[in-house]
Amino acid sequence: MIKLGQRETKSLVVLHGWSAIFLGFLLYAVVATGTVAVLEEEIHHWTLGKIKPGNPLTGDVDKIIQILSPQVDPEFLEEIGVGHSPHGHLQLFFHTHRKKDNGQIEDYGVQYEVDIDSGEVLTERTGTARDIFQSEQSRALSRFLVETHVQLHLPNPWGLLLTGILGLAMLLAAVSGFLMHRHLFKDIFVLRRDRKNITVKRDLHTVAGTWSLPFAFILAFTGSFFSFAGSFGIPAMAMVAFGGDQEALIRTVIGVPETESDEKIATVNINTILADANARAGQYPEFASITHYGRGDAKILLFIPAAETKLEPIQYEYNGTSGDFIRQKPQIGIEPSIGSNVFSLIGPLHFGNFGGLLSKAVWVGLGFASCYVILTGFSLWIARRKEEKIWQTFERFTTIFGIGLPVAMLAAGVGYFFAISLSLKPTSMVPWSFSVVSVLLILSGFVVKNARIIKLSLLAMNAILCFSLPVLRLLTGGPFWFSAIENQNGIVMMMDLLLLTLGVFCIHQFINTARSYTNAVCENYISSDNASSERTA
Amino acid sequence: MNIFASGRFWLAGPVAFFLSIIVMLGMALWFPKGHAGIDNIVLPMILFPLIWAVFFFYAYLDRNIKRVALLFLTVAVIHISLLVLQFTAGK
Repeated sequence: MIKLGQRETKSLVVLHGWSAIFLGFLLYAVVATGTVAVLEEEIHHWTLGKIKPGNPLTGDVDKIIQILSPQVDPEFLEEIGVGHSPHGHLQLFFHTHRKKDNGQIEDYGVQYEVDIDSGEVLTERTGTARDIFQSEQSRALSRFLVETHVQLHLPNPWGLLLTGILGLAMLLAAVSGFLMHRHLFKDIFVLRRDRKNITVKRDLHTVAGTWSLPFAFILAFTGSFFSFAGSFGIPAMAMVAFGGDQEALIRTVIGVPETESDEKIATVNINTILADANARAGQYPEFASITHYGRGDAKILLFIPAAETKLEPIQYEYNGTSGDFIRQKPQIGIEPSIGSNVFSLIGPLHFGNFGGLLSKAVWVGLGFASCYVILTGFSLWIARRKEEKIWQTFERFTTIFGIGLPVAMLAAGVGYFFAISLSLKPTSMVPWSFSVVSVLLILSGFVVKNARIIKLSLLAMNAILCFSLPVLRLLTGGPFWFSAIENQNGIVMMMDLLLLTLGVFCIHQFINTARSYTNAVCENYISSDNASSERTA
Repeated sequence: MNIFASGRFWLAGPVAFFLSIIVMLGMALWFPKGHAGIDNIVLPMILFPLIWAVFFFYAYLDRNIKRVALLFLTVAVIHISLLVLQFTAGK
C-alpha cells in the first residue's frame, strides 16, 4: 500500500468529495447510460424483434454488386461497404469521400438493402454515411442511449470534450480513492450493519468502490482516450506528425495504397475472396470494404469479428484484380506493432464485448456497481451535512437524478414503441419522451419536498415501466419468445427477462424503503406521544 | 492547505491539462515510431489520460509548489521547442 502523510490524505479526501459534487451528476449520467450502452446491439435486436437469421455475406454477393454497380454514379465506386442491415439483409454502401467545409472527410453515396436470396432491392437511400445511419428508425433507441453516453447530445467536439473530462474525473476519483485508503484490502470485506447510519453508508461506499476500483480505472482510462482522440487527438496528432495532412495519417494508420491505377480491370469475384477468408479464419467475414471497384488498383479488405476467446478482430487484405491474399492486417497500420496491439485492447476493455454475452453481463454488473458507488458517495456526503438546508435540497435532487434517470431511459423505450404503433418517427419520439419525462421529474423536485416520497414514487415508476416494456413490445407486433428463438433472436427473451428482473428488484427496493419510512414515522410518533404524556403528567 | 492562494488550483487544473496535451503532441516527435511507424502517433494518444493523472496528482500533492511550477515549465519548454522546430524546420 502507498502510505501518504496525514496532510496529503486529508487533501485527497477533500479532492475526492468536492470533485464528485461538482462533476458527479454528469459522471453518473455517463456511467449509467454507458452501462446500458454495453447492450447496444442487444437493445437493437430486442426492439427489432424480427431479424433474418444468418450472415448475408455467405450468399451470392458478387452477383448483387455486378447488378447494382452499373446503376450508381461512377464516382460512388471509389469504395463499396458490404455488410448486413439491422434486419439481417445484405447492405451495400457505394460511396465516395468528399471534403466538408471544415476540412474533414465524409462518406457520401447510395445505400441499398437487398434480400440476398431473391436479389430484391428493399430500400435505397442517398446521402452521407452519418445521415443515412441517423435516419435508421430501428436504431433510434439504442443509438439515443449510446449518444447520451458518448457526448451527452452536445454538438461536436464539445460533447466529446466534456465526456473526456468526465473520464478524467472518474480517473481522479478512482486514484484518489485508492490512495486515501490505508487499509484497502481489509476494507473490501468490512460491512458494519450494526453501527451508526453514517458508518453503514461509508462501509457500503467503500466496499462497492473497492471492488469496482480496477473496473472504474479501466473504464475511465479507455473512455477518456476515446473521447479525447475523437475530439482533438487524431487531428492534433495529424497536424504534428503529418503537417495537418489527415489523408497521410489515414494512409499510414489504415494503410491505403498510395499507388493509383485508373486502368479499367474487372474486379475479382468477391464470393471466392469471402470463401477464402472463411477457409483461413474458420468463419465468414461480417463486413467487406472494396476500394476502387473495377480499377487496376482495387483492394478488398475483409473484417472478421474476434472469436469469443480472442480480443482482436481479424482483417484480411486482398488484391482486388488478381484475388491474391496480401496480408493479415493489424487494426492500425500495415505491419504488426505495439501501438496496434495496445489499441486492440482498448475497445474490448471499454465495451466489454470480448467474451460474448458473458463478458457483457459482467460489464453491465460492474457498471451498476459504479453507479452505486457514485450514489452512495453522494449519500455519504449528504449524511455528514444533513442539518444544512442546502444539502437537504441536494439530497432531493440526488434522488431524482439517481432513480429518475433510469425512469427517463425506460420512458425513451416506451416512446419508441408508441412511435412504432402510431406510425411516427422513433428518431423524434425517443428523445422527446426522454426529455419530457426528465423535465417533469426535475420539476417535481421543486414541488415535492420529501426525498423518501420521491424515492418511493420513482421506484414505483421504474417497476411499472420495466413491466410495461415487454408488453408494449408484444402489442406493437414484436414476436413471442418461441417465435423469436425460432428466428435465432433469443436476445428478445433475454432482454424481456432482464426488464422483468429489474422490475422485481424495484418492487423489492420499494417495499424496503416503504417499511423503513413507516418505521421512522412510527418512531417519531411514539417519541412525540411519550413527550406529550410526560408534559401532561 | 489553501489551493487557490498557493496557485495549486491552477497548476493542478488547467495547467496540468494543457501541459498533458503539449506533452502528447510533443511525444509524436520523440517517441519511437516502431516497426509499423505508428507507435509515436497511437501510444501518446492512449497514454494521454495517464500523463494527465501523473501531472495532476504531482501538482496536487507535492508540498513544494515552486518545484512543481519549475518542473512543469521545463517540460513545457522542451516540448513546445520541439513542436516549434517541427513546424519551422521545413520553411
